[in-house]
Amino acid sequence: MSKKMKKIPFWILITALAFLFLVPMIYAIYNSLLPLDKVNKLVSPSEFTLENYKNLFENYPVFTWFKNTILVTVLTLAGELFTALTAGYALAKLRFPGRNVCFMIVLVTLMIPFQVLLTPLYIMVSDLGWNDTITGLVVPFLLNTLYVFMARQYYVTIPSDILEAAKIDGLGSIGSYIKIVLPLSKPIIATITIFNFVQSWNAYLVPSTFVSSEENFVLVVGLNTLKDTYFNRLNLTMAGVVVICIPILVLFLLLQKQLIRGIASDGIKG
Amino acid sequence: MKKNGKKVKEAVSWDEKRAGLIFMLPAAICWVLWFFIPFVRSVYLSFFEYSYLRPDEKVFIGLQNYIQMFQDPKFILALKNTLLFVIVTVPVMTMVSLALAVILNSKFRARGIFRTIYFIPYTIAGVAVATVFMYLFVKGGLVQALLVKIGFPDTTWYADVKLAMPFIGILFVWQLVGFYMIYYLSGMQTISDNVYEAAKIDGAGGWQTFRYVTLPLLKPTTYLVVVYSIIQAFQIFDQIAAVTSASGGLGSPAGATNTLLTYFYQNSFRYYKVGYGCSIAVVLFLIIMVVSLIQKKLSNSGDLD
Amino acid sequence: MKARRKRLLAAGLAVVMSMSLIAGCGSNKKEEKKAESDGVLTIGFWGSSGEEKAIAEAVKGVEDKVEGVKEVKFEHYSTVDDFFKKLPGQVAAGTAPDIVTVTNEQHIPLIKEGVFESLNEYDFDLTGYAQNAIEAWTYEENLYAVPFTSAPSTFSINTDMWKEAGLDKYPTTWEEVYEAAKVLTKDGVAGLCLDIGNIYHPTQYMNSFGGGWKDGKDIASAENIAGLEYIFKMFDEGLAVTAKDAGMTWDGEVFAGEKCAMSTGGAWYVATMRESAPDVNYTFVPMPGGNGKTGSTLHVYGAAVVSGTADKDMAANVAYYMTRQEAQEKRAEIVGERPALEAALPAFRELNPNLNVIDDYVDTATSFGYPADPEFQTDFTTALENHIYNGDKTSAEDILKTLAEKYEG
Repeated sequence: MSKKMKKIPFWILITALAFLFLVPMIYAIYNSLLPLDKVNKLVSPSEFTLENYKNLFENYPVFTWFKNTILVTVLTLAGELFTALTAGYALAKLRFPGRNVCFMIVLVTLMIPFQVLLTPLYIMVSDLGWNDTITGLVVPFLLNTLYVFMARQYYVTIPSDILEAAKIDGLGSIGSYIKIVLPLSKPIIATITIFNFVQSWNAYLVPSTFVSSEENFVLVVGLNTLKDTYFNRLNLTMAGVVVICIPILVLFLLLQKQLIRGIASDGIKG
Repeated sequence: MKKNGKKVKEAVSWDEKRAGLIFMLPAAICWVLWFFIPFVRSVYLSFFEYSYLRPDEKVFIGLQNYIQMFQDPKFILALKNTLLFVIVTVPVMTMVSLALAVILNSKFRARGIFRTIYFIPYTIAGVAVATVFMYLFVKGGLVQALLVKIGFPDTTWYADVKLAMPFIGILFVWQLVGFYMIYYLSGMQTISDNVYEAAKIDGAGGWQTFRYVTLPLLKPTTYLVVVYSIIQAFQIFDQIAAVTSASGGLGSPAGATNTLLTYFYQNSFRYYKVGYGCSIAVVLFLIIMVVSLIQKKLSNSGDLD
Repeated sequence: MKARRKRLLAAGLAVVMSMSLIAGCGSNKKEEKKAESDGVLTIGFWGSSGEEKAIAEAVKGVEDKVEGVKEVKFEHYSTVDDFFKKLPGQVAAGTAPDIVTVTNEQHIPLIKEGVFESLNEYDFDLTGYAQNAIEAWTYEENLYAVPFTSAPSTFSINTDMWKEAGLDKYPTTWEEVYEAAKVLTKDGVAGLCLDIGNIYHPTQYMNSFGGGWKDGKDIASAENIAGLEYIFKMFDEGLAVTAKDAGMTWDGEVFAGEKCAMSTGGAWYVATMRESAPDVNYTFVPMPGGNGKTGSTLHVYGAAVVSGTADKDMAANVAYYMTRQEAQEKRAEIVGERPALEAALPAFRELNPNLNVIDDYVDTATSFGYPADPEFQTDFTTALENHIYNGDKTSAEDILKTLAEKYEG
């Protein structure tokens, strides 16, 4: 049997699996191309129309929502990267008083369901006058303890000799982080970027609670108002889903190699 | 916190201590402000009879909310549903994500594209995924049509008291398995080719290599995947909300998909029983913590470092 | 070890201190709220962008008509769930809108918690407003919102299926519906769609059997028992389908998708039928009666003033202004809802000639009257779902008696 023949079952398997994972996307794209009375029905491609996308961009402030979403995503990403990289490095490589307690806190915080914090957070944000502003969607979310944890896991795997060498060169702890460690951090930055993107791009609970005027909506919240008062426009909703998904998929395709290198699972013990 | 006896305690330089504290500071400030304060506030409210609609009136009732909980059949059902969900989905999630990672770790053309495809479910908003799955698992739907052929009763999964939670489970695993697959893939990158070469020389077959070489070396990854999927399974919410808000109330049918988190949500936002809701959330948090501790103990007693 | 204990103690102390701090700043929010009105008024509502258009029409020109109003802002809750999730936090934070438009389904708990202001003192001229719509928003003799829609439920029939089955006269009683359903149920099509996921639908049966929840005063009445028994009969004999069973989100979709031949519908079916099932022929008939009695539910949107608004008089006057004839006519046009104001009805009738049947019995329609504790709705739905999806055999009478025990009084 030739090598190629041997590979056929393998290809069948991965293609079948790929199909399984693609079904919703196909479904979303398919229905987004149909008029409402054809939704969920099998029709020939000649019935396809881009009317829903046109409707979406013409009748709803989708560009504003897009802009808000990007703004929130980029700003929280910047903050989360900063807090996660610094804290993650400190927890992995720097011995300071209270380190173990801090690491425990990071782990325990992961166990708090976010819904529980929602209303108290909303009240705090309102007291600061940040309700219905982009600020309110960004400032409370500059830290995600999951990313701190992931950054810590990543930094643990960096060999200590590199840092020792830096010390001999006369660099302080902060200096050696900036000069030596930061350039090695690309994979973990890529990882946090993707996870943060997926999360804040699709977030609904917080933006729908903290923001109230249409001009401050993010995409997911705005798209939830597409259905009419008394009927669902499934085709329009699905067009929205497709529009939301594309940026994330492009980003993943670009960063996936880094992503896989960025997740490290060594040295879990606390 | 474990002390490693072998290591000689060396003096830590002031520079390192200072750098550590400075590096920790931004995260610490954010944490105190945006996690600690609201969390303590919720814990505090769990000892009161309270509704946000009447912010000026709270009645201290001590542990009454916690006592009431264990006489509340709806809470007991939610607790049962939650635990069952975790017990079933976590092993499935772990095994499926490992299997996918093994497949996608072999070298072949267009590997990156396939990895992206397997990751797609994780990136799609839960509402869209729920819509599609409901359409597939409805009476006469695509998946149902296949199942009926092998003798499965013709039913709508999410309308069936016994199948509604398994339906959520399928949705949950399907949507998050790509996320954990990435974890395993990266774990596999750390295993050097030499190890496999050695196994080959020893005459180990594919399965044997996997069982006695790959799997033990992936133990840290597995630990991470299990810990994190336990946390996520305990906190399942989005999928349930997407499925049940589209058809009946949160937790329908007949409370079959009610979990501790959805029950917390109902009490806080629908029944205006914020104090009681908070006490449920505290119990959920404690359960997750205890389970994680047990898991840590178990994995420490094994051969894992 | 000593040092560690000390540290723990310090940490514990910090926790206690911050707890009392937080507890302290949690109270007295309401008084702090906007001490003085700045002429900016916020109106909250949920729903689509069509809804926003209708509200915008309703407040058009308000700056000239109500003294002190300088600007109107919108608080757009994207769904009704978001509204209920968000409002409590807003009340606690003092950021709730000045006016909200709400339906008469979940309003009693909000009224009882003091979220809405009574409007009695303003003595608004409500001549021409449907009496039962006003009653729907009256609780313990106080008016809590100015009504601007009044939509009784109707019974809708797929006339294509009806004719095909060789049926003739449309049903006027539930018994006749039962007989017709036996003929109409076939090939994956159910005779009747009855969406039990939302208490709204079963309540229509309670009301049309002459019963109703009556604010939780008579939950286990003979009429309600008869209504619930009828619902169970329809499902036990396989003549009815729920939206969930059909894989749809609500009954209107089931009806439009031709998965059922009959359903309790109303003005809110029109848009769905026009958009997603333009080829399906259907008609509206009056709600059937049961046990010699009749009745229907009445769905009423009202504009309510939220307690703690800076200028209560201004907000109340704006709420009233929002329900004027022109606003209700525009609303009928944009959202398709039936006005509460007699003078605005001709415009609605012109747009929906097939709904004129409503006029014959609209006066007998009554509000939902759920007991004040919102948990009642979950408990009732759970009991129904247990019967229909889980084969639970508790009798209708026992279900209602158990609920009555828990929620009456």
